[in-house]
Amino acid sequence: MPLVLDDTIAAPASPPGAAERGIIRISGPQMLSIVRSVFRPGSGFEQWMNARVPSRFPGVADIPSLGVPLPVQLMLWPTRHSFTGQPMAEFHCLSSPPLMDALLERLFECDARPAQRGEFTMRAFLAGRIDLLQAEAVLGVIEATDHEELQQALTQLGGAITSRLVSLRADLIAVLGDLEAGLDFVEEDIEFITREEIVRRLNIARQTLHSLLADAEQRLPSGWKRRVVLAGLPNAGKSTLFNRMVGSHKAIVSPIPGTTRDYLSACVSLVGGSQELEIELIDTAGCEDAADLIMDRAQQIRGQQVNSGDLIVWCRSLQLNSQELAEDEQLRRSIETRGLPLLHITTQCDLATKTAAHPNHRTGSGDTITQSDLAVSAMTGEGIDLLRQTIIGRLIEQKSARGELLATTAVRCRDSLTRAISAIESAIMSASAGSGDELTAMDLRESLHELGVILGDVCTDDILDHIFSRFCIGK
Amino acid sequence: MSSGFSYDFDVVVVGAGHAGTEAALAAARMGARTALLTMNCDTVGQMSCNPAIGGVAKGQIVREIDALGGEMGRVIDATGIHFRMLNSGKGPAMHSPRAQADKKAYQFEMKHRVELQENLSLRQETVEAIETEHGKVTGIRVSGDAVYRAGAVVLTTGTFLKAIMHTGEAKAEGGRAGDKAAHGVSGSLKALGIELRRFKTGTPARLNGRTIDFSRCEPQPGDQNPQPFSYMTDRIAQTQISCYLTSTTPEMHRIIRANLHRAPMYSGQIQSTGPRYCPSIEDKVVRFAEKETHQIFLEPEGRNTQEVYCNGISTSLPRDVQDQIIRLIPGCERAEITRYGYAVEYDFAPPTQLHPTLETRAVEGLYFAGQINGTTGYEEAAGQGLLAGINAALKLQSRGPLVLDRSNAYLGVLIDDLVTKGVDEPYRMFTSRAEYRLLLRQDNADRRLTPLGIQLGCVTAERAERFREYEREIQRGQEALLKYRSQGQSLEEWLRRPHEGWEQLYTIFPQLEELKLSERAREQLKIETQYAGYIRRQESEIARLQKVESVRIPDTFDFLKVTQLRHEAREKLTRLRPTTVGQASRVSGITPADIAVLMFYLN
Repeated sequence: MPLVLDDTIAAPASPPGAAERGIIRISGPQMLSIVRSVFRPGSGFEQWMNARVPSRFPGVADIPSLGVPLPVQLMLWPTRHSFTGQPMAEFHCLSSPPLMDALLERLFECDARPAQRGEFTMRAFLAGRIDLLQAEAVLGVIEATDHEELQQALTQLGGAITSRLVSLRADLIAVLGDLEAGLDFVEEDIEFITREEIVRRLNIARQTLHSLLADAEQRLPSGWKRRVVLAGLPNAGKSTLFNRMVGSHKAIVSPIPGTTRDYLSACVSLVGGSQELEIELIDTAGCEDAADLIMDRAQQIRGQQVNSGDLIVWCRSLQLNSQELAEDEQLRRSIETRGLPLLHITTQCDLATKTAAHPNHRTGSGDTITQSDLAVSAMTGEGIDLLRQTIIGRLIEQKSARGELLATTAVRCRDSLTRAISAIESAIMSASAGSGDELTAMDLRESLHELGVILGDVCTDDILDHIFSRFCIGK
Repeated sequence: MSSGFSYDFDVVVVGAGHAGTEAALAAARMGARTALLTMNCDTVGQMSCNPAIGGVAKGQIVREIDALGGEMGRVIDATGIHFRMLNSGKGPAMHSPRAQADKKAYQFEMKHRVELQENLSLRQETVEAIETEHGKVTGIRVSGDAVYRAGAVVLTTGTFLKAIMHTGEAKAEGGRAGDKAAHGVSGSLKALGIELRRFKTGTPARLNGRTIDFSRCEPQPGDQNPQPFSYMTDRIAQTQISCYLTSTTPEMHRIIRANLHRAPMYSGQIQSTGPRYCPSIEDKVVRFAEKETHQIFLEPEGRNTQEVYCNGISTSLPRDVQDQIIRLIPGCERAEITRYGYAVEYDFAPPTQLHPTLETRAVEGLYFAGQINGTTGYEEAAGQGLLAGINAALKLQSRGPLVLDRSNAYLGVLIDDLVTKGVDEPYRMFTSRAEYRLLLRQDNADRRLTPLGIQLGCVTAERAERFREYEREIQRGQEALLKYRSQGQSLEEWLRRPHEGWEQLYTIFPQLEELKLSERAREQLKIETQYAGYIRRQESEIARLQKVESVRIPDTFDFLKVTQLRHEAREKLTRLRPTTVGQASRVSGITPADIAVLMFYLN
C-alpha cells in the first residue's frame, strides 16, 4: 500500500447493497473543507461552523447530479481526536447504491481520494489509536461469518487479549527489574528478589502464556495448516498416493475399491523447489457406488472433507472405462461448480504402457483429459516432485481469506507465544538451578521482546504489509 | 580580535579531569598537536569525590578505555591500594573490577603521564570564552589576553560551570571544595545557542583515620589475587590496605529527620536533580523510612594520609548536624571530620545536542565530554574524553568518525543513550543498560576494541604486538580444543562442562602444555566455550536487529513534514535528530507506531 497520509480519503464503511442505512467515511486534513462544500446542516449552523468536539448534525448533502438535496446525518470528529487520528466524518444515509455512489463521487470531485483496502484502519494504527491486535480484529469483524467469530473479533477489538498481555508484561518487567538491580547493585545489602519469588512469578507468567496460547490455537479454524484433500473415484490410487506423500503406510492400501471408509489425515511438510509448506494431507474415501445419483455423490463428497479443503486434488486413474470416465467427469464438475479449488491429476500412470491401447485414453474423451493434467505414479514416484511443487504453488497463489478469521493474529501470536514460553521456561530453569541471574535476565528479555511483537511493539515491514494488505476499505 | 598572545594547536582540551586528560592524551597519541588547559596544574586527574575506580559496569568501561589505548587502567593499576573483583560469584559477564586508589598518587601519576606525552602541552589557564567563526570553532580565549587557536576544542568542565556548593544553609561558589567555579564558559555556550540546565551531586564527609576505632568495624580486605585493569599490566605487586564496613544507626536517622528542613535539597535551596542511585543520606532516610540502618564503607584515601572517605552518607546537611551524626556511627564515636560533606550544583548541556561523535550540533569542531554531558562518574567521563579526543583528531585528519555500537562496547551504549535519550538525572552506567551484556565483558574488552584501536592508530605498537600474540595464543588453543578428543568427546566439549577446567584437561592431555597458553588465554577460552550458546543467541539477535537498526535517516529529513507522526514524536525527533531508525526507536516516548510511520516514509 502506498503510504500517503496527508491527503483526504473517502469510502463506504457499510456493506454494499440496499439496506436501511449506508455509511460513507471521510478522513484527512481537508475533511472539513470538503464536507463543508457538500453538507448543509438542517439547523444549528453556528454549532456546525464552530464544532470542536465530536458532534452529530442532521442535514442534507447537495449533490448536483441528483437534482434534489439528499437527507443525511453527519457524524463529525473535527480534530485529531478520532478513530483515524485525523479530522474525520461519516455520512449516514439510506443505503441505496446509486445514492451512495453519487455522494461518493461528489466527495471525490471535491478532492477526496478513494480509500484503499485497510487504509482507515492503517491510519488508526499509525496514529496509535489501536494496537496491532486490535487492527487485526477490525479485519475479523469485517470478515466474521458467524456469531461466534464476530464475538471473538469484538472481544479482541476491545483489547481483552491486549490487557491480559499488558499486565503480564508489566509483571515480567518488574521481575526483570528486580533481577537487574541485584546484578548492578551488588554492594548493597539488599536482597531485591529471592530465587523462589522469581520462579513463582515466572511460573504464573508461564501459565498465563499457556492459556493465551491455547486461545490462539483455537482461533486457527482448520488447525491453520492448509488442507489438501485427495479425492476421486474409488480405486483411483488416492491412498497409495497418500502413503507416498506421507512416507509411511498409514493408509491401508488394497486393490479392492472402497478400502478407505473414513478419511485419513497426516501433517506433511511439502518441499518443492526452494519452498517448503506445512500441510494437512487428507485421504478421502472414494466416491463409490456408481449406481447412485450424482446428487447423492456430491453430498457424499461434501461429507468427505472436500468442502473444507484449501485444495482438492482430483485423482483420476489412467485406467478408466468410458462409463467411469463419464462419472468422473460429472463428479468433478460438481465440485468445480461449487467453486472449490481443484487440481486435476492423472494417477497410476505407471500402468500407461499396459493401457496404451485403452480406448478412452486414445480417443481423448472430450475436454476432461488434457495435456495439462499432471501425470503421477505413486508406485514409481514419477511426477511426485512436480505434484508437490504444483500444490505449493497453488496454495500460495490462492491465499484464500475465507475461514481464516483472525488467523493472522493467531499465527503471529502463536509463534511469539511459543517462543516467549520457551524463553520463560529457560528462565525458570536457570533461576531454579541458580546458574546465573544474568542468564535468567537474558531469557526474560527475550520473552519480553516476543510479547512486544504481539502487542505491536516491534513492527517489521513484513508484519505491517501482511496485515494491512488484508483489510478491506472503509473500516 | 585584540592584540595579545596567541598559540597555534590542532586540538585544545579545556579541563584536566578524567575526561580532559584522556581526551588530550588520545588526540596527542594520534598525532594532533594538543594543548590541555586547566585552572590549576596541581589538580590534574584529581579524584574529587570517592577514591575508587571501577565497579559494576564501570569496571568494564575502564577495560574498554584501556583497550583503546586510554590511560585510566594503567594509572589505577600503578596507584591502587585495594583491588576487588565484584560479582565474582556470578557469571563472567558480571565480573567487575574495582579498586581504591591512593588519590594523590593517582592524580600525580596521571599528571606525570600527561607531561611525558609527545605532542601534548599542559597549561594553567583560566578560560574566558570559546571563539568561533561561521559556526566553526576557532579557539579558546583565556584570561591574560591570550588565545589558543585550534581546529577542534574539547570542553570537559566537570562540575565547575557556574558551580555553587551547599552545606546546610551555607552557600559558596566553587566546583569543588577548595577550588573556584568557571563563569565565562556558560555565557559563551549560551551565546552559541547551546542550552544549559542544572544538575546537583553530593559528597560525604572525610574523617581523620587516627580518630576512628576500626576494631568496631568489619574489615573488607582486597582480593588475594588482585586482577589488573590494564591489559598491559602483568600483575599487581603492591601491598593492599583494607577498607572497613560500618553502618548508620536508628538514632542517626532520627536526627537527620529532625534536621531535614535544614538540608538544601529539602528546604528548596537546591532545586536541580540529583542521581537516584547515589542518594544522599537525607534521601535514603526519607525514601526508605522502613530501613533502620544503611551500610557505610570507610575507605582510606591513600598511603600517605589518614583521611578516610565515608562512602554511603553523602550529605549537604549543616556542619553541626554532620558533627552530630558522624559520632553516632559505630567506630566513629570520637571521629573528627577533616572535610564536611556538601552538595554541588552545576551547569550541564543536555547531550541530545550532540552528534554521536560528541561534537556539538551547534558548533562544528566543538566537542563535549564528561559531566558537562550530564553524566556522573570518573569512568563515564574518561570514556567520553577518550572518544571525543579520538574523534577530534580524526576530524582534523579528515578521517571517518569513531562511533561504537551498542553491541560492541559499554562506551557505545553510553554515548548512544546520551545523544538519543538525553538525561533526566546524572547518568551512570549500569550493566542493565546494555542489551548485549553477555558479550560486553571485562575479560574481552581488548578483543572487542583493540583491533579498532590498532586501525585508528590510538594504541601503541607495544600494545598492538601484545594483543596479536594473545590472539595467536587463543587461536592455538581453539584449534587444539577442536582437534584433540578424549573418550569420544572433543576437548572443547570437556571444557564446556561446568566443573571442568584446564587442570583436568592437562591431566587428560599433557600435550596441551606444549601450546604454552597464558592463564589469561586459557581463561578466555574457557569463558568463550562455556558461554558459547548464549553468545550465539545474542549475536543472532544483533543480526536480526541490524536491519531496522541500520536504516539511516538522512540529515536533511524533515520530521515536521511527516504530519502523520504524533505531535510529540515530531517535536522530539526534530530536536534529537536520530541518525538511524534504531536510534529513533530508543528515544523515550517514541512508540512502535511512530517507528512504523517513519519506516514507511523512509522507504
